[in-house]
Amino acid sequence: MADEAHTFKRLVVGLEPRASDRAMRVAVDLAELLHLELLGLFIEDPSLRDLAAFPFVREFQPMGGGWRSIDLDRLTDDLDIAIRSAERVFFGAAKDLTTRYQFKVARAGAAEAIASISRLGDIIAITEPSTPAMRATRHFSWFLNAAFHSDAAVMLAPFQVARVKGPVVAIALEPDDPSIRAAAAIAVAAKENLIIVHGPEGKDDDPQYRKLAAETGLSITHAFTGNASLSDLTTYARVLRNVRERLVVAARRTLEPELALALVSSRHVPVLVIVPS
Amino acid sequence: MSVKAAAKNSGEEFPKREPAVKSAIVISPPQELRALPVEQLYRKTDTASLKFSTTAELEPIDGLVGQERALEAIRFGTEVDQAGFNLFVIGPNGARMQAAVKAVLAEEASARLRPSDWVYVHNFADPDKPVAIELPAGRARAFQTTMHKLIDDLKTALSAVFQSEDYQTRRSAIDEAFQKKQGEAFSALRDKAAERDIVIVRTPLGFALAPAKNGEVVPPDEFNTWPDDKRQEVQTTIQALEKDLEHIIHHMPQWEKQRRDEIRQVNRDTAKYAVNQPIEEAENAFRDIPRVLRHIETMRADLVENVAVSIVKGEEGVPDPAALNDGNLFDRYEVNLFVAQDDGQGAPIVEELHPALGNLIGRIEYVQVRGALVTNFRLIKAGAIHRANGGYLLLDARSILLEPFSWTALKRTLRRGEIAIEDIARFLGWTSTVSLAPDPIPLKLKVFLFGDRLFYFLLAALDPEMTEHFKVLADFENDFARTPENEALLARLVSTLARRDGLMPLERDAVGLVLEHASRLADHAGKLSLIVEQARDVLIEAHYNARKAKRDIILRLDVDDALSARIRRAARLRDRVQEAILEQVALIDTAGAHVGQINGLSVTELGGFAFGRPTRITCRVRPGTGKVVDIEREVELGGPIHSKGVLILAGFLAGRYALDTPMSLFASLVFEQSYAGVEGDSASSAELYALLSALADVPLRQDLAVTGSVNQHGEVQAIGGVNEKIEGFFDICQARGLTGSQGVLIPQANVQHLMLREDVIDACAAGRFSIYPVANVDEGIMLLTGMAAGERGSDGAYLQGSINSRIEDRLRAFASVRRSFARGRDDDRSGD
Repeated sequence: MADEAHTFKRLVVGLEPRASDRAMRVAVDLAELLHLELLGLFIEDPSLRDLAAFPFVREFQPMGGGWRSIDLDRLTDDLDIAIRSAERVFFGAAKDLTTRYQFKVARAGAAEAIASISRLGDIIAITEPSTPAMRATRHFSWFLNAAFHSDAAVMLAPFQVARVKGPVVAIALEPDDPSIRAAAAIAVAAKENLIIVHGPEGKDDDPQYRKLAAETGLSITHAFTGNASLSDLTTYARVLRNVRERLVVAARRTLEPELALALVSSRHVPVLVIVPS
Repeated sequence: MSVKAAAKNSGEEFPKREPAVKSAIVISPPQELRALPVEQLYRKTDTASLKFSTTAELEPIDGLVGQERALEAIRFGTEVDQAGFNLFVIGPNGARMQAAVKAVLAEEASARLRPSDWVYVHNFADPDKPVAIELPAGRARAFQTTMHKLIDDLKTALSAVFQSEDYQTRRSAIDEAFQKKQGEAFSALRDKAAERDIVIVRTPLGFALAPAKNGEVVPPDEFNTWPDDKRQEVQTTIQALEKDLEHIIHHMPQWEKQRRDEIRQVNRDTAKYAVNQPIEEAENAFRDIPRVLRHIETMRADLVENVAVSIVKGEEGVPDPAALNDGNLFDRYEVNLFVAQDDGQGAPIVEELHPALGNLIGRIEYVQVRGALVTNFRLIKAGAIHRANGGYLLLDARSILLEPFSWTALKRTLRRGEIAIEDIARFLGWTSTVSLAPDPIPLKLKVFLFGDRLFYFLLAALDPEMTEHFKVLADFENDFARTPENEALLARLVSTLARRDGLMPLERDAVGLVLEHASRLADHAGKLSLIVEQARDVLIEAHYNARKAKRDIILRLDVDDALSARIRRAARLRDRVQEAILEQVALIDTAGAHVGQINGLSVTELGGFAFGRPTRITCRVRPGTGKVVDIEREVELGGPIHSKGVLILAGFLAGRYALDTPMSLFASLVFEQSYAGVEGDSASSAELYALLSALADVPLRQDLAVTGSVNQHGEVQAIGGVNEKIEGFFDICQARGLTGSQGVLIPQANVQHLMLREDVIDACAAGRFSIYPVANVDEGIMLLTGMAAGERGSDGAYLQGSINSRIEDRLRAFASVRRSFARGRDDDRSGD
């Protein structure tokens, strides 16, 4: 019953050269919980190869490598290694998955790649960059924008995940907020409790909540922001002070990409931003 | 045929003479050689002197009975504190020395103070050397409990404080400041680049700066269409931005270090806040023990510096490898309760029955972690020496000598004056893993070593260190005088044993028989055995008999049946030996008389049961060089003492008969049908009688058996096992039918040892068997031949016809034969 409450079909994991095993594990666990097909997508920026055509463009390697000129052959090798590394991490994490999983390399711009691959019912998982330097690159913002402009839901995962057990939190603007049913479906699958965070207008006495609890058998707790806005990051720090959640679910209209990213950074748990069907 | 030739051909003794007596000998010994009266064959207990009806009326007696010498030694040893005055307690098996010493020590120990408790704790400065802490008696367990509770409290407090909002806020603030600092630097760079149409591109291994248009990298073809000055400007801009990027990257380690330092300080502050109160509370209970306070303070510093950091790492989901090796992070704050004097009063008395090295001086155990053996201070285990420290340690000498390294380790510990746990597996190279060197613990111990006398004497001879460490000898007596007072004392001991084992009380007559049995065990009518274990065995068996007969008291009959049953169970070999004699397989005559043949007596002891048996001893003589040949010795079946006894015979003969002529005798002595070794000299008088009979050509009575050793003057000396020997010959005679002439010659000195079986006494009382005490060979020869040995007259010659006269004549004849042989040889030489 609860399994039918969500409409997700596939989880698309955006892969990068230095993918985090643990963040990958979170994506795989969610795919297993919700019986989703899993696609590992490595997007290779085609303009990277153009860099070799600029004799004055150099590559800086932070781990002691320093500056060096860009050679096309070596860049190609580096890219191949990065793809194989991401593929290995992906298959390592997905090997016990009971649903279908595959790995793909898309050589296109992020927007084109996402647009051509994603569809309704997808969740696109993006891992938070490990350093501010990575975040400053074109690559991350490029991917983030593409995901949030697609029809798919977006799961932002922290580079280091604080916990993989705990209640599922739904941030709801109203009783029929799609985040509630999605969060309930995940909570049922994970055998966790559900916490609903209500905005300033929220109430906990809506019959829909009782119905949901009755249908799913979930233990539902309600938390209120009072007069504080749901678009303020500090609100969540206060409301979720004593909560050790494993996942936060919100609708796209509730969490803008930047806020979602900030929530991931502060809570160290994945945030799933869904699109109303 | 010459004499020489005849002797050679016949192979018999020469000269051959007719025996003086061929058939029956008329026994008419003088008054002093009469058989012993029945009263001297067994000493009954004077039950009238035992002032009780049953042992239930007797006061129990603990400790040492009849062991004044040992008691004095024990008291001296326990009261002298100086090093080396440990005790070596020796005595017979079954004397229950340990139990007796324990009883004495119990009094001493209760008057002494309980020794200190000891714990081992982690050494924070050098983890391989755990620290030993001494606490007043009974405080160690409280310390352990307090620390355990403290750890529980700290776990909760630290966990709570590190999960608190305050901490998370402070921590997040630092992280965010760091991220912000980096982020701002990169954002500034990104924005600065964007203003100049440059983008930061992520490459597989790093970053690059590239010309951009609308946020996308400009295709190279398009870039090449740009004017030269614009392309040059882009190039210059990128070079400047590269410097900015490099600058930011170079600052990152410094920012990261600053972040770590700030977080470490926050962790310290947070941990301090969490641990201070629980630690103060723990310290309050031990303000009077500075060493404990020092340890807790060290622990506080370690908690703040190290553990808090590890907790934080765990919270972040990054396990600390070092913490994994140590097991639980908090384990190092636990207390290893090593020795706790919780129970009882006074000094401990510890008996270690299995003194293997580890059981004795303690050991370091290991646990397997991912295929490797690891250890820590909590795996240090106390040995018996630790548990007994400040009191008494009781060890069995045989057990400790049988255990590899234990004896040496004990001596080393006594010499050092401190207990150092030695990991023998490491010394021997059996393990190569990291081990510990725990703090040694000062030794203040009195060791009691129990063993056979043989062990003590051997160790004293072979191990000079033994007497250095065990200066006090406590030698337990095997028996004590059988006085009325001592009989009463032993009766109380019997009563105590019965009570201790939950046995029925004994009636007075039953106790009387137990005392008589104690005399028999002592091999002396005038003594009582102190080998308590043997008495206890009989009591248990008598109790069994009484219970079977549905009585609630042990009667004399029950004790008697127990003694008989014990013999019956053990006597299979004796019965087979007697059967062989009765079936003429082993030849023993119990009637008639023979020249050069006599019944000797020997004792066989196997598995604690001893029985006597007659053995035929024969002798043949001929002219020779004065040599008495012991055939047992020649074939290496005779032991040295036996051989000595035979050699004494030659001395006796030479001293008595060869006063004016050289000994020209060759005599051979043999234990007939003896196929095992023969040891001891108790048959030497029998051998002498056989030799004298052969020389005198006078037959010896076969209805008598003989025991006793003899010296060169012909005096018969005491031997052991007299009761068993008499009973052994009696059994054969009784089986064939007692004739009234049968009996045994025993040394006069052994009369006091007689505690004979009831059937032997009855036969003697009825005149059907006799025990003859003999003081010298002449008395014996008179009993055995019916002829006087004879004394030298004023002319120096023995009375004609006496045994001695016949022997001397025979020896002279041998000498004459030898001289004639010598002359013949000289004649042959001159003729040549």
